[in-house]
Amino acid sequence: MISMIMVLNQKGEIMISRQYRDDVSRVAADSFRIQVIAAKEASSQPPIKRIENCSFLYTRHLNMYFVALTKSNVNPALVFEYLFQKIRVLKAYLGEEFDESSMRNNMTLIYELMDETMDFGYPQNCAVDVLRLYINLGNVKPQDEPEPEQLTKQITGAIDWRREGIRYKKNEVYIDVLESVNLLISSTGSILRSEVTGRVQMNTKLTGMPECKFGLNDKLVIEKESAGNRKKPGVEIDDCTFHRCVRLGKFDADRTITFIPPDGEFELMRYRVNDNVNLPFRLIPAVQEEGQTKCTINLKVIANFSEKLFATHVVIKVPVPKNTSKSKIKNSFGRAKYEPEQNAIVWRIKRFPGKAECMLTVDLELVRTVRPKAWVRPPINVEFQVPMFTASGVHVRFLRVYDKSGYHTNRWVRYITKAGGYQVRI
Amino acid sequence: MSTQARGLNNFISDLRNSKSKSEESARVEIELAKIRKKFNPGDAKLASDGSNPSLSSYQRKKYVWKLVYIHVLGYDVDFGHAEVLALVTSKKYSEKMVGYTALSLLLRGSDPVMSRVIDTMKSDLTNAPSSSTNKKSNAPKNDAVQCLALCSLANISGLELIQAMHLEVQHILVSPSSTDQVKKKSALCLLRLTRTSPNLISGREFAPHLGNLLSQNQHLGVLTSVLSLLHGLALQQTPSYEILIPHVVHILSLLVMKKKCEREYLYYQTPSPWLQIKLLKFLQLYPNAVENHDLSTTGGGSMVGEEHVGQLIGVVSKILMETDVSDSINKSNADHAILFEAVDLIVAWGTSCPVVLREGAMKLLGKFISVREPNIRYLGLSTMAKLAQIDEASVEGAKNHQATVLVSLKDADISVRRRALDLLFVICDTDNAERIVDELVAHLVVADASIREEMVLKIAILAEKYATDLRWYVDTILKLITISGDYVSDSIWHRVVQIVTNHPQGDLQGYAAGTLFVAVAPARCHETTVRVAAYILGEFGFLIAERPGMSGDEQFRVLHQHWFTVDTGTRAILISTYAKLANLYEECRPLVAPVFAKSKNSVDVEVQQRCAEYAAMREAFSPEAVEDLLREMPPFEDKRRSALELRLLETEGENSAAVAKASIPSEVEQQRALLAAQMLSSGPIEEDMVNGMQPIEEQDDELVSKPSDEHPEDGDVDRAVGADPSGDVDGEGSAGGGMSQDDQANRVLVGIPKELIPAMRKAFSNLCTSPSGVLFENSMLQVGVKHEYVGAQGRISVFFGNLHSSPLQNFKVRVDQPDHLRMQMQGTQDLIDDGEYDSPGCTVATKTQAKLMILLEVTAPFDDAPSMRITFDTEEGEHHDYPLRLPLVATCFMEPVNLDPGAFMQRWKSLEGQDRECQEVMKLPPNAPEIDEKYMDRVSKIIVDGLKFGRCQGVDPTPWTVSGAATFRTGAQDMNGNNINVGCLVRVEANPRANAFRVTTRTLHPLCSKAIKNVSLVSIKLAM
Repeated sequence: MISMIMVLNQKGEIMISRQYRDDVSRVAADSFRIQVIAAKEASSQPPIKRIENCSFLYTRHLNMYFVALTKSNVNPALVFEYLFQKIRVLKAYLGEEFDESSMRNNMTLIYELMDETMDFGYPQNCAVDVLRLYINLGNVKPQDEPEPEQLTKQITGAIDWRREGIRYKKNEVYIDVLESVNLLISSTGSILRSEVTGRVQMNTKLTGMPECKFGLNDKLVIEKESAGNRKKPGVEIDDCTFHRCVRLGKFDADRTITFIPPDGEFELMRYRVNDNVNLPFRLIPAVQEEGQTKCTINLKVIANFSEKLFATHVVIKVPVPKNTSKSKIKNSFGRAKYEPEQNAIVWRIKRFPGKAECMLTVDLELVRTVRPKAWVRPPINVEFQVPMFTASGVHVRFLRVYDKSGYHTNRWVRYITKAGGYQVRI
Repeated sequence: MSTQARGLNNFISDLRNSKSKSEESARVEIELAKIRKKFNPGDAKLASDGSNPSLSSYQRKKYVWKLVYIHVLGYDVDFGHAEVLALVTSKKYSEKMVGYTALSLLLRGSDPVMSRVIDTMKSDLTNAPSSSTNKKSNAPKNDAVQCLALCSLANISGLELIQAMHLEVQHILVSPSSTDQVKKKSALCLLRLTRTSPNLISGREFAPHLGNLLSQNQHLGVLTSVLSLLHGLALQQTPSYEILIPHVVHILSLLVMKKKCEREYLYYQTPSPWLQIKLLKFLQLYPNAVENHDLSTTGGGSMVGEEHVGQLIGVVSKILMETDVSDSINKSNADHAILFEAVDLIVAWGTSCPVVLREGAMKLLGKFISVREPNIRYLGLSTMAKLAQIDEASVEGAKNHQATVLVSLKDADISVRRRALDLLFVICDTDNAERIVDELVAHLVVADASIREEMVLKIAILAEKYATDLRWYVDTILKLITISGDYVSDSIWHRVVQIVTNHPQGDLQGYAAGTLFVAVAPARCHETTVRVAAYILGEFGFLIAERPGMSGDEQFRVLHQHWFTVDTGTRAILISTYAKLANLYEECRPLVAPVFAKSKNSVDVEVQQRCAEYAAMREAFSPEAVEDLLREMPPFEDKRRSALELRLLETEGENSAAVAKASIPSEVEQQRALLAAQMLSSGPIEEDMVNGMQPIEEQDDELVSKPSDEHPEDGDVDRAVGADPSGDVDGEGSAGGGMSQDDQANRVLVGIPKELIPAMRKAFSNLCTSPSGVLFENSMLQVGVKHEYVGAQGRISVFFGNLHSSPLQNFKVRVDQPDHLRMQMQGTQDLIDDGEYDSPGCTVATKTQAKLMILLEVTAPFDDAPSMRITFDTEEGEHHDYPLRLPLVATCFMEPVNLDPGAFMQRWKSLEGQDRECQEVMKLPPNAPEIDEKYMDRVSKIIVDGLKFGRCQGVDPTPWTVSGAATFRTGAQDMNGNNINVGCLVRVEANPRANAFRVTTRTLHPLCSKAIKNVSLVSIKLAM
């Protein structure tokens, strides 16, 4: 298993190191520095490097290297999962953008985390919500600390992510379905890539140890339930990954999602949908280059979602040639402006109603260049947010909460679709 | 300035203050957009030259400055040229300055807009009185504008510009009205132009102008610039500028002897060291300057007068005498720089330099190499190595410093150690070899890893070169392996094996076997030792088998103890050795058999194959055959340039002193080669043979035995293929004669006599198809050729034997290097005339021979043989000049291809076409023998053996045709890195009734077809 975990800075100096077994020494950092960091191509190099019988598995956060050393034949997926979890834990404790100095300022905390998350080279509990029960430093606010005895019982028990005896006056569950759409359309208008990646975030405020059952409009489930009567077909969901509280055995058997939720915020699942994506915006660009000194760009944008909804924070970046000297812009609404630092016309629309159409016309004047070069024509880039809309068509069918006391639960569901890489070539 | 362009200042400080790269580039993009907007006139019209007329002068300058700054930061700026041109054409100096600066930075010579500046630039260059009409105070000064134009011309140097301007620049340089400043700039500009397009200036015409400049101008700055130009030009066309030597010597003597120098050019009391160094550098280009002076006393018209040579020698000796270590580091740096240049000059002069100078230089260098300052010592050591190369006396001089050099070998600085090693290598000869090698071996123990490999290589070469006793050589290499075995490359131990095998005389082989037996006896020894020992014991183990404790099975035991610790390569060698041991000693067989049985399943293919084959051999062949197979290896073919020297060449480059040294055979080596030759030849040894004439004598006999009647037809067949003496002799011979009559009235020019020509043609044709023979022979000289080819590469050895009663002097050979051949030549010293400088040539004593070896690689098909010109003088005052051709024809590079009839016919048909095919009908002369089947047999034999074609059996329906196929190999590579080959097909059809032949060749390459057809015709004639 893992013999040592070290964190190196960009110069290859050890910031933190924790030895779990004594078959490697700190001197190994030198060979890592020379062969990996100094080689300067760390990004293109494989994340595993074997130097003199010792394997270095590493990942980066900002300009820090998180390196796991081992001499045995480990499962690399496990080691990397541990490293990623480790970074996630540190982010929770030190803030999303923790850097070298915040690492140095929180030495004791980090060593404490090192010891808690790994024992004799074997990964231990890495869940932040559990760790924060007994490690209360950094960004993590001290909670009402449970009795040590109870704590031990919880951590060593079967359900270590939830402690007993939680009480709420009002039992509530908030469900957020967040989706981001990736799209690439060729200059001829054909779709080269379209997919949706989604996450289901939950915030539970429930009393006791409730058993939850969660249902999406999963195609497989719906077909099974409504065999015979024609209902709306479900969505084909690929690549589900779940929080560890979900009973995977049950999911494998009949695709039901049952779990005892952790208290507070957590990410229940992630998924991906490839087929039948509802694209929120349709873009129809037309570019005409007239000789060396003139260029006209027309762009029509159509919102595809229902008129009850609206999109916010719409930003459309229309690239222009590098030698643009003057631009005349006409647009129906929003604000459009030539921003030379981005080499693009940036068109911002605060609120874009559903089913609306709008036009942008740009007349460009170009400066003659010494050595004429064809314009590379980068793609148009779109950013947006559409609340209460899912590009994949996924929606929450039910969430049932069973508890011994049989209390009533309020459920709140929210949907948001955002643009991932939403690009149209011209 | 700051008040003038606040916008520019703000912009620059904005960029300096930006925190990240992306912030900076965003700022640049915004600025560029702004400038684009400003350059765009909007609704107004552009001016005729494309600039925006509404911009004020100040704005235009400011924005162009910004563009220049952005460009300098590394961003791409590719607009605004119209504004730049507008600035260049402006009348104001300040605008012109901005314009020219931007022009030379933003634009390239190849840009189309360049043609629009040419006129402006031309008028700025020639400028003259344009400003006199414009009498304003801000009118540009002539010379300042000229300087601007010159600078940007030099910086841009596009082809079109150069063509248009170089005459103006030359004119400015020599014109008396130009100011010093302009002259300086124009000299440097011209240098730049000639570097980008050589041969711009004809040296013969330009040299006198430069002479005037040098003699009339007293301004040291101008002189320095002109000297830079002169050196640059002289590198391109050295002979044309020889007439300037007197001027240069004059200037040098003014500086050195009279210390005549303006104050601002004194650098720590040294008069203009830069100029001095340039002068000395220029003089180094003419190594014969001093020698010519000797000739001139005997009446020849030399370029350099006697008084100049005297002056020059005086100057150099003064530099040598007066340079001293001074307190000021700057002063001594300058002085040493001059001094080392002077020593380099002495080195360049070589043997023609007065001995006093060389001795003085050696003494001085001796002082330098004992200084503590490592830079000086480094220079001293490397210069001394060069100096020591000149001749014997210098080596003797350098030897006096041997002890000092050995100290430098232990220096802290690796580069000093390298130089010391180099110098030791150069001064090593038979007398001190043992001492130097021992010292080096002793030092190797403590030497740094970075220098070890080089040391090992050099020790190995020295030990081989100067070993009076080869046992010492074997011992030394063995020591090397023990001390640093990891650095002993394969080629070193291969060489040991080669030498031991090739020298059966004395007890060398037995000694080597015994020593190596002892060396591998311990359980731990270096793998290389095991390899050498395995090979040597396998070959010569029987010589020591009688000694106590060294019997066959003991040998096996000693070697086999290493079996498990060595790698597979060594195991393969061990297996061969075991096979040989088992063959010799009955008692070894039971020991060896299990090893073979086990290794038959080895992972390594080589080991597996060897085991399987050796084991199977006994069953498959008769005992005698096995005996024969496992006999000792025959002596290796002696290669003049050993693998070690090639390695040295690879690591050090062409110019190193060590390489030059290594390629000259030592006396000991020559003796050894002689002995080896004696051992190999069975016939009685004659006096001639000892001197190396023997191969030619033998070949001579062969030639005589062949029929030597003249060819009936020798039209363009021979002209294309073979010796082409008639044309060459008539043409070049007479031209050469004319020249030599002018130069040396007392010489008689001798070319190739007409009556020899037929015999030469015959010899040439013979050589085209046979590996060795005589190319040329008369009463003075015999030229023998031996050539062999592998794929696209070949090796030609040419021997020049003196058959005359007196030595042949100034013996020179010049070989044409056509584009389609890559050649590498090597030969007796001074023999090769490579056309670059006037080599004196060597002397071939009577009854001896000079040797030339050419390694070559063909890169493209060709149809004529390269020419070789031999010139020499006899004591009788005759100057001989023989133009010959080397017997190097396309068929030399053929590789036979065996095609079945179907494939042959298919290819034959696919190659049908105009220029791919070549055909000729040849009618035999009336007195020739009749075409019968025997004749056809001879023809087919020549096609197969001589022309290296694969005979395609079955294609020929009657005995009257012969068809063959081959591949023409070239060393050139196509886009994928594969060698380019050309497939060739040939067909000879005979018509016995008409007594004629028809030769048809089809290849992919027209030249190839033609060449093969010609060679085939010649060989058919030979078959008569």
